Amino acid sequence: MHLSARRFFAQNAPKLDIFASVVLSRAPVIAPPMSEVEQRFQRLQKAEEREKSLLNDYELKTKQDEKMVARREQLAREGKELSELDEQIGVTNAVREDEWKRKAAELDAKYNFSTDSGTLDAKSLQRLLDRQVVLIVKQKLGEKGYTSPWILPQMKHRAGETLRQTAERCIGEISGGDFSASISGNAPFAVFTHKYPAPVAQKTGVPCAKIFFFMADLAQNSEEFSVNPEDVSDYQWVNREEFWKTVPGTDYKKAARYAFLE
Amino acid sequence: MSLLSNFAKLSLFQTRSIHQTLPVASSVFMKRQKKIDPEVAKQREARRRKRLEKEIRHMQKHSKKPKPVDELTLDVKSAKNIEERRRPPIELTIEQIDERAIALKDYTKSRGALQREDDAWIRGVLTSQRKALEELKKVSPELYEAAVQPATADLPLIMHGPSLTPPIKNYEAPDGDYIDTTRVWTS
Repeated sequence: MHLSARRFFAQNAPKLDIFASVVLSRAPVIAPPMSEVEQRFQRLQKAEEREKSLLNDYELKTKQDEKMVARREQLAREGKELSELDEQIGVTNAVREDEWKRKAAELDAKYNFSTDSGTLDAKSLQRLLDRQVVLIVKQKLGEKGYTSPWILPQMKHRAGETLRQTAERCIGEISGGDFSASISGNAPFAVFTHKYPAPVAQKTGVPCAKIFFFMADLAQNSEEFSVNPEDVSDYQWVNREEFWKTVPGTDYKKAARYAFLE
Repeated sequence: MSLLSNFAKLSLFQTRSIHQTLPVASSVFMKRQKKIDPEVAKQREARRRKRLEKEIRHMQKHSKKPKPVDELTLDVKSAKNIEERRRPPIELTIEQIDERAIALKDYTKSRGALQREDDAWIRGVLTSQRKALEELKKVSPELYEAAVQPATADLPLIMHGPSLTPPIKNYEAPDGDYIDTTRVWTS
């Protein structure tokens, strides 16, 4: 029964090309800044918690320090012996805090935490660290003198492999560099039907291509990413808004819109 | 007794059983019971009972003791001067109370909106995937069969959430010893 069903499909299936397309995305590296609502809620929540709490040892010592310093000033005005009191005071919390601030500033200067990653060029993996970015390419698709518009990387399905294997091959063939990515799931999450222009369809006898989309995540330790220049003439990492601005074809973008989860 | 033994002589089997049981009770291998003063014996008994009772009490106390929850236990050292630790009471103005209530409400609303967004995404992507699989089934049943196989190799999927600062490139951790201070609760 299976065999006959298969034969039936083979005979009657419309001729079309099958492509697997990969949405290779880099997850956000740092948490996005808090929204205004979140900020206000956090500020007020912290204040409330502080009101309800008890003083801790450090705060007690700060209070004690203030008292001692006031007494010291009083004694100094009266011109009395201070060395004993100084010994009692030791290191005050104010002094400690200054020291901590100095160290924090040192670390800040050393590691430069506040780099604005938005200014980096679109080829850098380090751009837009608080956003999800996906790879879009201009692909040659194995045809001479042809370059696709901005698309998600795709690869034509070969007989004998599963769609997931095609997607894996797609990642392998378009890229180079020191990175690793993993495709999630065997099933495509979306499909798009691309109708070939009439002259092409007439020439090849194939009216359209079905593009099946897969999601892939870039591993977090991926440092560098480069493309295989034989297949890809240009590439960039874009966030959701840039994706909608750069990539042509509303239906194509709509088909792939679930690639973005933010 | 003498009467019994006299009777016993009549039967061969009975003689044996009776004569043999008696020497067993005072066998050479048995320890000879010392005669003890009943007063001392009573004392000993009492002591033993006391010790047993103590052991039972100890076992009851320690047998099924759950491991303490540090957050719930009273820090004795800090509790000593708890009165010093109280903050001066703060009277909130009506505006402040309102601000807090509004902030909480706004926050709750924002979380709800976020949840609905996530929900919509999940529903949308499921529909989208179903549609894609249906199309695939039409195009090629073999590929469809391969696509609906569970991808067990992908699981479990472990991702480490975004941090507040990006990882530092070429960071050299300072030297030091790793000391595990985790308490162990098995006994």
